Amino acid sequence: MGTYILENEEALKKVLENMLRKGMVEGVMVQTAGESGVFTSIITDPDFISKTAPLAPLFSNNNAVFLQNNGTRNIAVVVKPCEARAINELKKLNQINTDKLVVICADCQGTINPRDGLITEPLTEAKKKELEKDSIPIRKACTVCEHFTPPEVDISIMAIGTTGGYILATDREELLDGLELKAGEIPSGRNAEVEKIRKENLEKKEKMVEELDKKLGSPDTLVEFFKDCIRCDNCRDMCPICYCKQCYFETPLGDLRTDEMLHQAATKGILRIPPDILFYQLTRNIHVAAGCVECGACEEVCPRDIPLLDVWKSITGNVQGLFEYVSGMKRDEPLPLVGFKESELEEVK
Amino acid sequence: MEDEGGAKESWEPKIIGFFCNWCSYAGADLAGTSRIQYPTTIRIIKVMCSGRVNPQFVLKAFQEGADGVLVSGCHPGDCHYIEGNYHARRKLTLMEDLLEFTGVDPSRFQMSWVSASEGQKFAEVVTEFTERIKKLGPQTKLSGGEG
Repeated sequence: MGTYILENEEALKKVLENMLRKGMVEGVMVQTAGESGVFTSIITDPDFISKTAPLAPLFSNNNAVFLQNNGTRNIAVVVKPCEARAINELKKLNQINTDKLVVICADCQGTINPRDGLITEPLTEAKKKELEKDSIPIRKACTVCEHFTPPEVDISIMAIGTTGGYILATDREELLDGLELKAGEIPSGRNAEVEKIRKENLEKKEKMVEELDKKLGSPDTLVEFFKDCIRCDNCRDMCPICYCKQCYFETPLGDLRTDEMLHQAATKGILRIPPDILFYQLTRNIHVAAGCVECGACEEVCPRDIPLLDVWKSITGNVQGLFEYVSGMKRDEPLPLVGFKESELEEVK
Repeated sequence: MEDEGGAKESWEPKIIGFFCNWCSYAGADLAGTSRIQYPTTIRIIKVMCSGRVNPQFVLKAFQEGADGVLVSGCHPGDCHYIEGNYHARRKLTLMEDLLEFTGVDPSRFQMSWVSASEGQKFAEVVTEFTERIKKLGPQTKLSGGEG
């Protein structure tokens, strides 16, 4: 693995520009600071690279959603660790061809929803304090994030532990052809610092799950929890892992017309509209829990502000814990619900 | 809605069983042809393999008013489709977590292995499960009209 020094964000842009100019990729998916704000874009003209803000700490949705079923053309993508994990998970689910992607992922020190503030420079501890003063919140999903360093990707950019600047690490050195980068080393204090942040976030996460468990401890609270759901399907559509081409809830069984609704109502005398909100959410839980990357996109797009992330944190932790699996960290690893061991779970008699 | 207090004496649990075609359903058949007595609380739905049982089936059963759900398939290693029951075991173990989360007592859900020759075991499993559900009483968490 080659490790190189990048002095600043500009040096990273040079890497992107070089890939485009040399024709290694046909496009780069990266955040761009345009006139209408900061947005994710696909750039094919290398001259536009100067307008990009690859490390802007913004997250409005998980961009892995838009990379599903990618075709035969090469593209480089600059993503956050949760997006990179979603890409890896989708690769295992045969929904993404990672051979056609150059995934570039940097340490993430928290993100902000663009509706709360447009910040283009990467977050640092000092910058975070400033945001706190301006009461611009860091996204909830980020404050309880355990996996904020790059998983298995093509190019990882490390910021934590360095004294200014970044360390670029890659196994695919051909992607850096034509660039004169100084060789560097992964800072020795990095691991300790990563662990420190992870511990802090983990504590917050545990508190969050504990509070949720307390809330859900009494009867019928789950119905209450989801009571505002209007089945808009935003959480489903913006979830990178919820990938089915045909969703159960778009089949006649799951998308009820009045005749079926009357039939269902008749068995109990009453049917809530929209029907099956609990069934909808629980079905999503069953389908996604083993692969959830806890990016919080579902909560971000929920028009009724249901704290969906709390539920996912609780369920994902339990399910992935049971199979000792962390979703999306590697590209080649058996999925927990596809594989099995002959001798396991022997409590079933 | 029945008055729960008044109906207690005569209340009989409703149990939905998802049984695989090759082992457990044949086991239940054997119990019948051998005149082995077992509770009438169970309504069996035949599936080709326990691996066919979608966790959604279990949720839906509870939502429609089941008091307990029993999934039964071939013993590990004996699956007609080689590995369907192993998949079922992994998939449905998750159910316990999910049920706990929904507030339904996870012991209202059970998985068991019953082979085609185990008519007696089938009767025992159903009897034990019925006793357990009787102690727990009616399931109301998911069967209300509001979810």
